[in-house]
Amino acid sequence: MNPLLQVAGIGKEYRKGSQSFHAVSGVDFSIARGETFGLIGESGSGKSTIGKMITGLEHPTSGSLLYDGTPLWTDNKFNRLKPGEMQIVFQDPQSSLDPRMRVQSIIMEPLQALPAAERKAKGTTEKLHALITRVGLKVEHLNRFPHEFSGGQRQRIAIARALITDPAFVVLDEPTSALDVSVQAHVLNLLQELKRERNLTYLFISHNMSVIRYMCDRMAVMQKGRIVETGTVADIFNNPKDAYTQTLLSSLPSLHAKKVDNECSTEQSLEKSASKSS
Amino acid sequence: MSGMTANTESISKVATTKPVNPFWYKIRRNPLTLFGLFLLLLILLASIFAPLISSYDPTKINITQRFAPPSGDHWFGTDEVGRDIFTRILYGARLSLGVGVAVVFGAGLIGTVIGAISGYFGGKLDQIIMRLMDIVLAFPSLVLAMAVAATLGPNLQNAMLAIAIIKIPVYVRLARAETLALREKLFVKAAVTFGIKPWRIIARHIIPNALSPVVIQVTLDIGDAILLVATLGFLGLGAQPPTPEWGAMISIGWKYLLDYWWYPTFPGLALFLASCGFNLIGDGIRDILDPKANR
Amino acid sequence: MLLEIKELTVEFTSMQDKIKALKNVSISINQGEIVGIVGESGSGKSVTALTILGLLEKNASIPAGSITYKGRNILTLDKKELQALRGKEIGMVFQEPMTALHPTMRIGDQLAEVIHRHRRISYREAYQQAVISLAEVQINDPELVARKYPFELSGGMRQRVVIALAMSAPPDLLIADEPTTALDVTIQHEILKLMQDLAAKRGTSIMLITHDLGVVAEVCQRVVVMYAGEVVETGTTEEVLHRPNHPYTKALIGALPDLAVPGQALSAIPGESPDLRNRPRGCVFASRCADSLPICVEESPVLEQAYNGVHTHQVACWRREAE
Repeated sequence: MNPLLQVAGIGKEYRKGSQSFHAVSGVDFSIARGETFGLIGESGSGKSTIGKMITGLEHPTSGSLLYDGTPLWTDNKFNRLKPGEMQIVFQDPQSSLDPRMRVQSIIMEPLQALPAAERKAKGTTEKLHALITRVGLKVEHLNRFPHEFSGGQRQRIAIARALITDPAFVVLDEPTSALDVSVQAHVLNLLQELKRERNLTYLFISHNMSVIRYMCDRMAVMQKGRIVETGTVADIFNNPKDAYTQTLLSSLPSLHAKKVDNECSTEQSLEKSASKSS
Repeated sequence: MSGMTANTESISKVATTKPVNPFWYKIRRNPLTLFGLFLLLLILLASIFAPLISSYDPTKINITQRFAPPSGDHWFGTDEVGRDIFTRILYGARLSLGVGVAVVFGAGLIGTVIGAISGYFGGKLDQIIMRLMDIVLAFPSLVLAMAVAATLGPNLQNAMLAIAIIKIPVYVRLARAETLALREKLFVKAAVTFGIKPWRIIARHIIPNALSPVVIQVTLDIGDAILLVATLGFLGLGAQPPTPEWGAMISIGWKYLLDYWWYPTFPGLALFLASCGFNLIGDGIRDILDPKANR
Repeated sequence: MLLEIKELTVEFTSMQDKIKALKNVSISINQGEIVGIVGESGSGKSVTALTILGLLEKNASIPAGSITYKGRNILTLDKKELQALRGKEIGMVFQEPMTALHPTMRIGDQLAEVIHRHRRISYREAYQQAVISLAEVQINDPELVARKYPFELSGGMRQRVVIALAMSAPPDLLIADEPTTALDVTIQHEILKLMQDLAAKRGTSIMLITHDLGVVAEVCQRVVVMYAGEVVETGTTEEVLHRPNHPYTKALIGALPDLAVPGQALSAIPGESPDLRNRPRGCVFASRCADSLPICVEESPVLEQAYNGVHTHQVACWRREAE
């Protein structure tokens, strides 16, 4: 089967005068339909730039991006093949919702880009009410403003907004990094459930190894604009080949850090939890 | 000691777990703003109910009563053709306030739209718009207003247009600066990823969020605009007699200052109080909407 | 005992509302100990730090409790005495290193100035000390870094400088509020290690405030779990993380994706944190607790020994397992 998203030799170079900086260079990966693909890296690794290039915020300076077989960019122009097909959820729900808009208008906003007939069909009151309750909020919340909500609730609003157009592919750019642990658990659970219910494909961008391990099927590790390792999550966690991946894994503070000390803590805990569940 | 700033910041976050921000609560704690509000309300009510407060006609000439000093009949005295100055000030307030508010709101609206467009699209368009604004700002505002008003012909409409023209660049710059910051906000980026058209993003996201500083500037500018209208009136480039306009009244009255002090004094006082009121309110609103600017 | 917080209550008045940010908080830190204060936003962990440092804003009041540092009650000190205490006796490291650094002053000069002030040595000697202290926080080429400005350094390097600054006096107690939250994991690891080493070498106690249980596990000897302004559980890191007794601690650990099995839902805590303006009458966690008893909503539990025989491990829960 063809991959839903194919990233081939993509690069992003920023020029300032005679200086140039490669934020991303020669990145290849592909995401199959129904998969959750994790992109992990530290700040400045270029992982967010890739998310921006896929969603049309930044144009690549080399390589190609194919969505369902069709190129997303021709030169510097973004081809929005089918509006609403692809959506994004940002890290900071504080600034990703317009403070002067009510929740209802925020959630309905992506529909504005759709053709009139589709906009009507997808923007019915029943659909809106079903969606807001599905993400764990109440119908009466629709009339409120973003500042009346907690961080977790705001992220739920952002998720509802991304889903109103019934997308097939969602980019999740550090969706839980700004949230408390207990809130993160709710949001991750919600994302998992929604994926199953709506046959979504996710690109999950994060700096958090444990979140990626828990959420993703396959992953790529990025460092300084390049991918250093790609593979299934289990492979990379159990048998990291690249030195940088090994460093990342060993710096991960784990609850069992003290006990296991120098051994690969995550591997152990993985085994432990696996045996517990069986 | 280093680290102090960090502390005050984090504590204020803790202290206001929910941003309760009632406008009135803050206004009430600021006596100067309250005073400004009181002044304006007084002037506004007086001008609205002018026919009820005074039984005189603001333009009716009564030669027998010329230069009557302030008395029970004529509170602020009369002018060189016997018109009641108090009455003329009341009706003049309608004109001054109305013109001041209209001009500044017009300039604010036009300037904000131009600034938002300029800032959002950037590039050549932005360059051209900003250079044009720089040209307007390069002239002393009064000189430019006089030039425009004189070229177009001395009447009230042209004076308003002149003031609007010299005020627009301020709003363009303000709105553009806000737009540049807003363009980087995630909610604007989100709208771009949805495929929302630029004009819609400007109308729905940029302008509503850029409005706070514009509103502050508008309230601060109304006082200034009232003064400018009066100045043009004083110079004979604004409202023409016998329209009761404060600037025109002062313009004629100042010649009689030594003999009939009340003639220019009272319109001048009215002008002072009105612009004072708007400035106090402007300051107050700025403190509330933009607490950082105060420090 | 170096620092002892006893039944501390802190309130904030915001317009008409009174917010009880801390209620009956008791925490103690021994000489040379690293104690983790862990909690989510609104748990009161940062307020605790600011109270110790005397940096609460004007709208805060302390209706009850005491903070004893080396036998003196900090809450009764005046501004000058507090100023002397901060920096010299108690060092501070915050999440954002840039806020603690002077933006237009060279690193070496910033450090030298503080050392010069605290140790009463000549500026020249202080500058030499500054370079040494940069080497101590594992900065390669300290002479070069001393000549740089903060903006020329990476986030991790800046935080090292802030640690050098905080440790320059040297203090007996270091309060670190989310010191590694803004940093990448690989750097976080190094910074935590560095703090641990410095503390061990100089006998400095550290109060490490964090939301990250992983960080606690990595460096802390003891941990205090806070929820909605109260201490709900405390004990050695081993006891609390491996044998949690309070339902909140258990739920918090359960909510971590670290140990979860992919494909299975994370055990999330239902509901939201209580409104600090209207504290519930009973246990603060009762409304979200899976095994609450009738008494839980009636009366607040107090900190008591958890599990018989382990005197260091205390928990505030009516269902405390005293097996």
